[in-house]
Amino acid sequence: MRALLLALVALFHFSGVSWARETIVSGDSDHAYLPTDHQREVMLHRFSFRTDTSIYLAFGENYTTKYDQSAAVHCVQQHAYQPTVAMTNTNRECTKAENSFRAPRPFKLTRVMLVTAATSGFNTSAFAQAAMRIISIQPDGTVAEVGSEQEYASGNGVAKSWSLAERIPAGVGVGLQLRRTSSLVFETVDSRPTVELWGIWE
Amino acid sequence: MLATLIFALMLLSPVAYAGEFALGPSGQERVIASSMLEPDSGWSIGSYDASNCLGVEFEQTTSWNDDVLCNSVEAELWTAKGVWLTGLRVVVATALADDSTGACEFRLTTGNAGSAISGAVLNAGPGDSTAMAVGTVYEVAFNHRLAAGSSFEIEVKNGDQCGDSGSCVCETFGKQHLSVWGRY
Repeated sequence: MRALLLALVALFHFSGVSWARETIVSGDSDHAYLPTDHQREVMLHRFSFRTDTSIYLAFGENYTTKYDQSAAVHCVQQHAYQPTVAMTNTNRECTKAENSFRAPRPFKLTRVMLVTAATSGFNTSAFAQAAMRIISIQPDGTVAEVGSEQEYASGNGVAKSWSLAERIPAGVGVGLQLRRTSSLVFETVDSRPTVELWGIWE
Repeated sequence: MLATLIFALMLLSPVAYAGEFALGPSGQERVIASSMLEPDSGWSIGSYDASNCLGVEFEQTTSWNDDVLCNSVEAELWTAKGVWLTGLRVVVATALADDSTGACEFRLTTGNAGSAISGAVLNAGPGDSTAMAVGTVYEVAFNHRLAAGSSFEIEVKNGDQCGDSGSCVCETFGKQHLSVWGRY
C-alpha cells in the first residue's frame, strides 16, 4: 500500500506544469487581473482592422439591441478582406460571419485587449471622441453588452483592455461595437488596431 | 479496495467529461487552427483530389477562401510543437435556407494529401429540406499524433447534407467558421 501511495504521489508530481517545461512568470502588468482557472487561459482570436469613423454609430444615437439591416450595428470587422482605403459602414452588421468571433465550444471570455499602431501622418494628432464596448451576439441577432463601454481614442500605442468573466455558449458571437461620443471624431485609417480575445475553454 | 477506488477516480477525471479523449500529456483541448470559410468554386468537386486543398495561408484576406494544390506551401498547417489532433468543428455563422444547395465535406490529411487521418472527416450541411441555423455546430472527434515540425492539410469536396437533396455543392455553403482542435 505504501508503495502504491508513493507511486501515485510521484505520478501527480511528474504530471505537473514544471515537468511540461513551461515557465510561468507572474507579476506582469497585464496579469493584474487573474480570472479563476487562469492557468488555462489562452488567446482565442487575434485580428486587426482598418478603422474609419464611418463605422462608428452616429453621435446621439443609441446602440440598437436587435439586428436591423437598415441601421447596421457598427461592429468591427474580424475576418476576411478589408478594403485598402478604409473600413466603411457597409456590411458591418454584427450578425455577419466576418464581424464576430464564434466558437463551436463554450468558453469563458476573460479579457479583450486592443492596441493601436498608427503610422500615418495623423499619428501624433489623433483625436477621437468615441467609445467602444464588447458585446455578445445571439444566433437570432440579439446583442448584449458583456464589456462596458470605454472611451476610445486612436493614435499610436493606445491600449485598452477589458477584464471579464463572461460565459459565452457555443455558437454565440463576440463583437466590438463603436459609437461616437461627440459630433467631432477624427480618425486615421492606419491606426490599425490589433485586438486579442482571451478566454478559457470549458 | 483502496487502489481500485483511486484508479476509478483517475479514470473519471474531469477531462473525460469535457468530451476530450486525447492521450496528450498535458493541458486541455484547444484550437490549433481556425478561420472563417469563404467557399471557392474550386471546392465544388465530387471526390477528394490532391489538387484541391484549402488555402490556409493568409495573403490579402484573413479567411480561408481559395483552393490550392495539396502539395503547395499554401495548403500546409504546421505545428512547431508535438500535438494530438482531436477534433474538427464547424460553427454556423451564416444561415442556409431549407432549399439551399450548400454542403461541404472536409477531411484532414498528411503527406500532401497522400494519407487521410483516420476519423477526421466532417460532413457539414443542413440536411434534406432542413434549414441550417446560425450557431449550429458540426463536429467530429478523433485522435492523431503529429510530431513537432510536421504539418497537415485540409481537403474539401461537396458534402451530401444540403437542403436541396441531390445537388449539393460546397461553393454555396456560405461563410462559416472552421476550426481544428488538439492538445499539446
